[in-house]
Amino acid sequence: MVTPALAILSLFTLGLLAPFLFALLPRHAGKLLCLPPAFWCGWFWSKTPASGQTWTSPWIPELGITFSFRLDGLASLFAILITGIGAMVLLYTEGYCGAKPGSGRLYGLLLLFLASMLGVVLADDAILLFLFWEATSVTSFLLIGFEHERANARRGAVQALMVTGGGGLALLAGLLVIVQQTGQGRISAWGPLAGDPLYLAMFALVAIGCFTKSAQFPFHFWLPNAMTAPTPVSAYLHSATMVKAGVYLLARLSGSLGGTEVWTWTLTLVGGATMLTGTLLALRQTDLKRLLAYSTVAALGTMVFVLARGGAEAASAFAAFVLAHALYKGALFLVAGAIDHTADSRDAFRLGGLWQRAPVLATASTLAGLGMMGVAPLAFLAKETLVDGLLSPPDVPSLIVFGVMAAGAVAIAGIVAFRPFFGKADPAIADGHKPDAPLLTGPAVLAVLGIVGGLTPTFVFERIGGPVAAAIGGGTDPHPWALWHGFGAPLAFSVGTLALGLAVYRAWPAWIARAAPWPSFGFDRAYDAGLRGTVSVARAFTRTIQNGRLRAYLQTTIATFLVLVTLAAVRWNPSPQIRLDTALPHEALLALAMLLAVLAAVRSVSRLAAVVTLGVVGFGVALTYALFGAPDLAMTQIAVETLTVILFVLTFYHLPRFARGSGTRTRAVDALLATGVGATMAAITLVASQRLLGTPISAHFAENSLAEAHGRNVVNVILVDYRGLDTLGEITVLSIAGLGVVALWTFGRRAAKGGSA
Amino acid sequence: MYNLLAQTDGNGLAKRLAEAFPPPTIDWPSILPIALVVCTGIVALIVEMLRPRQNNNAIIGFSLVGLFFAGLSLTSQFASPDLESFGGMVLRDRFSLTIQLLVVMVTGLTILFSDGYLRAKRIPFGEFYPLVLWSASGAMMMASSKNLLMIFLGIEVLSISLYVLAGMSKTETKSEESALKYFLLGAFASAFLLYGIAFMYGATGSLHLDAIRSAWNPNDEAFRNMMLFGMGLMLFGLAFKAAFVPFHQWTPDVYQGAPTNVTAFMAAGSKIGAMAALWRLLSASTTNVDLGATFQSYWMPALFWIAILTMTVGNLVALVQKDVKRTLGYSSIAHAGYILVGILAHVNNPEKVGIGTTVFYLLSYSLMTIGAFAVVSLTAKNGKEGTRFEDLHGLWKRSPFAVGCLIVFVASLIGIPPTSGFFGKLMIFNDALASDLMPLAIVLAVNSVLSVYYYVGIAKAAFVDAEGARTPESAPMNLGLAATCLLCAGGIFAVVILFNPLMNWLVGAP
Amino acid sequence: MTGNNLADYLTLGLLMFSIGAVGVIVRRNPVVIFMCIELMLNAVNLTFLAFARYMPSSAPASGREASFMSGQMMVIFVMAVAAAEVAVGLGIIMAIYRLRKDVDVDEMNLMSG
Repeated sequence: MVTPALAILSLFTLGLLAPFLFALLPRHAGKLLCLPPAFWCGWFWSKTPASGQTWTSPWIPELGITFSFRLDGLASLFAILITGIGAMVLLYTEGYCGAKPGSGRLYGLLLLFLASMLGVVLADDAILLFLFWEATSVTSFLLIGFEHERANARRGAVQALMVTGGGGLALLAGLLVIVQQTGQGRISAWGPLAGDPLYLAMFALVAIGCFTKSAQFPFHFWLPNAMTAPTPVSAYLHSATMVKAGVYLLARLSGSLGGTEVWTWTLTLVGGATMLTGTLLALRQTDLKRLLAYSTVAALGTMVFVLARGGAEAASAFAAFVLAHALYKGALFLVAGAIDHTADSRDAFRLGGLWQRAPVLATASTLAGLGMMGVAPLAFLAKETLVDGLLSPPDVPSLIVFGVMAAGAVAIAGIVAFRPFFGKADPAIADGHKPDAPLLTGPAVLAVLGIVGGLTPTFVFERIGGPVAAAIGGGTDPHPWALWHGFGAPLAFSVGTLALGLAVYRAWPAWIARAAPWPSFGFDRAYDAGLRGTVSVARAFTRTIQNGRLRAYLQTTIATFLVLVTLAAVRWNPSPQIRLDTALPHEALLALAMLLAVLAAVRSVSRLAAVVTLGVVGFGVALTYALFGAPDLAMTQIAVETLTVILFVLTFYHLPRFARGSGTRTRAVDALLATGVGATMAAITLVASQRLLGTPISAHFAENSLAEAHGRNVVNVILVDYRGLDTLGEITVLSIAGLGVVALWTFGRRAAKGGSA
Repeated sequence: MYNLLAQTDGNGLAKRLAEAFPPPTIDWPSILPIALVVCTGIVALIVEMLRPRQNNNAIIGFSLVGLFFAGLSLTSQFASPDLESFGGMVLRDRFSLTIQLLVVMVTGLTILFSDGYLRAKRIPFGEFYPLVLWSASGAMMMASSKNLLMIFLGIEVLSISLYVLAGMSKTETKSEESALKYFLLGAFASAFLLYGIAFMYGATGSLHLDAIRSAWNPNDEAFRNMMLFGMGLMLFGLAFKAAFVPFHQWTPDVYQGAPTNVTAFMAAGSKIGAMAALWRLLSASTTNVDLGATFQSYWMPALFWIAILTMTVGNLVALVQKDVKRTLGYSSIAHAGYILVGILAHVNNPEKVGIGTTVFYLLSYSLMTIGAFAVVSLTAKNGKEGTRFEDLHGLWKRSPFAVGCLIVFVASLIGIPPTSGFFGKLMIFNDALASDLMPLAIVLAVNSVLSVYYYVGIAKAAFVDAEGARTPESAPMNLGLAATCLLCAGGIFAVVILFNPLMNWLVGAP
Repeated sequence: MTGNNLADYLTLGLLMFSIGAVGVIVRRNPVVIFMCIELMLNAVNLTFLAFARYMPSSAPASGREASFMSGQMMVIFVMAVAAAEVAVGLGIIMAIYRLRKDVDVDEMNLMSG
């Protein structure tokens, strides 16, 4: 059963084994490792059009977590992309890394990522989905930081983890709220949630999770910084798959969370802002990978933007765009890596004339570039479908935003796909080595697929567009894909953006050469500032609170206690009553003596005086016990007290005199706290004993037990006979104490001797 | 003796006493685990005395066997009915058995990796084994009674042993300083706890926790005030033991100064005990609405804020630490906050939220904490120990296995799936939502993000090359340490994979 | 013998406890701090005993004898624990004195941050 689970599990296992395989066959690891994903790609393709099959088996019923998978149109589109492009990337890695030691880890992590990503799109259980989601974050963290000796790589990795991990927790929160509200862990079982009282919380939390993962404005900054990863990783994670997880989930949940005003507006605005930000920032870059990264941001914005619209038509357009983008962007990233490999540079401004050195690469690049421009068949088809949707009825602001993005894409495609091959070469560019077959296969296959796919629109629509529309659009798209829509507004729009893009492309080199570095701003800085701010708050906090001084700790503790008591008093407003009662003279005298002794113990400068006064208090307490009719307790107390006094005197014998007085400020704080303690405690006494003032004292039992001498012994008898366990505890305490003393004492003596010797 | 008294004393007191103190039920099995642990300690001490300054293998063997049998006697009672014996002093229920089992496990894991560390640090302190066993017996006592006397006694047995253990490294000023700080603050907190118990006793006339619920009467103002005062003081004392902010300040200092194996036990064993006692106290201090204002409506707000503070301050301050043990200390504070959220969720809605979460989290927390400290203990060598982040540099090359495990522990501490740390947090989060503690759930989530930063720092430090930095060639991996790492790391995954059978076994079918 | 009532004893206990707490905060010698803690424990004992002696008639069903007895028992245990703490505490203080030749707690801030 459970074929999706088998796919994930097999690829996961393969990931664990990959390093060993690499150790055995370093030169052919990529060729071998790409076969299983390719097989699964074929399997998923053969399963389309899938109509939402599900598999399930229980795992943690207590939490309502099940192993559930679902294969429908949306899932199979993404599964095909993940496995198919994954296979190409693995093959490419062989050419990119060769037999470099440590590459086994790269293969392994890529496969682990592949399996996790497959899990995300196939999981039907909310928590299971989140598990895979986090696994993609973690593997992505490890992949971005793969070259961990570089500070840049480490920073990019941690940043990506913080942003996507943080978003992931928001997502988890959102999913859990939905699970709580619906009582259903299975995503396929969630109906529309728009009427739920917690709808806003659900939507906001899920959206944050998706936007961070898919690098939407204002969380887009982590994606360009993640370009420190090896190129196969960038191509795979940061263009074709991982960043699409957020988009995928939005699409997946559009049936439950979509269709509301909030949904439409949020997604439109965020998507639009991301498109503009990505496009504009991309044109400021000269590094090929960063250019591509920003254009990916813009493309992801487009996908979110399309999802905002909802309905079968938008779903089908979404599917076309996801497919086209994955193919051309994956290819272009791989080309960029190959260029880096060939010319040892990724500077789009300086590269040029590489077509002679790498004709195959140049062809692949051109095809992919045409795709990005929206000219190659599949991409053209996707673009036309999108514009079609925007034009009926015409939505002018959206069209403008989309136009800017499309024109930008044309310009960027020119810069990254044509300029390095056909532009003027900078003589300083080094003469690298020629790319070999594994390095070429990936880009070539992807680029060609982008063309071929577009030439057979009906076939691809049947396999991809239709099922996706059925899965998330809630119906069939009335307009199946077609390459030729006839002369009309969409075509005019395409031509217009193409012309605009080409104009920008021509102006770009001059503009880059002249452009002063923009004043740096943006969310990347904000992230840094936020991190710095948190750390400095933490530092200040640590300095004041955690200064290592015992007395400061005690003071904080007491102060907290006082604050709590005061708050409680203010809130419940107890009314203390003061009533003075007459005490017998000898009792009053005893109390007075004890109080005086206590004060003296605290105030004393002489060590001996302190000990003596403390003894007085102890014996006073013993006397009180006796007065209370508990002579046995009194005897114990006297014994303990004597022992204590002797121990104290012994200790003082070894210790220095009391230290000097404290400074004025310390004293002031002390005095303040002392007053606080005194006042609070006095108030508490009055409140706490209030009830007992009025209660007539019953001396019944006490008198009886006094009268009968046996009674006092019975206490002990009972203690020993029937509370044996307590006594056991008591004995344990005492033996531990004795052991401690002996250990510390004897070892201290040994150490002292050793030290002096 | 008792019967004798009843026969000879004709004046009625004995008869009255017989009514007051019916011959208590004695259920030996229910104290057998504690007795076993204590006796193992005594045996270990005798062995230590008989053969001083020799290797400790015999003691370790005895201790582990003793702990094993204690664990066995605990699990064999899982099927037995709940029972309060020894005159209400000892309680056997699922919670007590499970917590005791956790303590036994933690103690075993600590002992397992201690020998290599003590040797590397050159601490000739064979008394470590008996003391840690007795300390464990204290933690077990805290869980296995509803009588405040026993709980107090448990706390003291636990703490007094730990005071000595913290100062075990007698040539290190740091160790002694931490012992003194721990001791003075601990004794201070104990005094508060006791004073609270006194007032609770004054109000209810009993030391038994159940008396709180039956005696609660919000309409008698004086009674209510006394209860509140007593409860406040008791929470003060327990918050100190469990290291809740703002009663936490001793924690990082003591954790840093104490020998690493002691710190590991403190962070896991002592925390389990404190949490168990807190759980008992809070569960007993919840009353029905029928009587008017419930007891929990008074203390819940305070604990709510303490939970928020504990999570936030723990993670925030951990960000700027330069010492691994200190960082882990703050992390343990943060985790105490998470556990508190779980306990509050249970107390707030006992029908919907069971004890499973707390037990599971304590289990997972102990595994990852002990594991992490065990790996950190590798930096000890030749009587010295470096615990700053730089001191971990190059560990990757020296013992890849330990670093591999460290990554698992760190991942679990962060809460990355599929580790147990993630599931623990998930359960707490779920519980908090289920019992209307949404704000706590959100604070927990935000803090989890914050914590990523410093936890990653720990793992990162192990990967940085040692060149340029001080190069403390760490102690070689020893068998005990490897076993501890393996058990902890394996356990972190095993408890997830076997979640269902495990939880059914530990806390009973839901 | 019955001239005093519970409130007087409680007040005495609270005063002792507060003075002890204040002493703990303001003094810098660990031995004196510790003595102050002992004071607090004595205050606790006094309170326990006072409560036991004046256990009101609303004591729980198990009877006033049982209540009375548990209070006294608690006192015995507090004493035992206090004795154990004295032993361990003074041992620790001695050990630290041997290392540092100084026991001022304000000077003990080796670990902070």
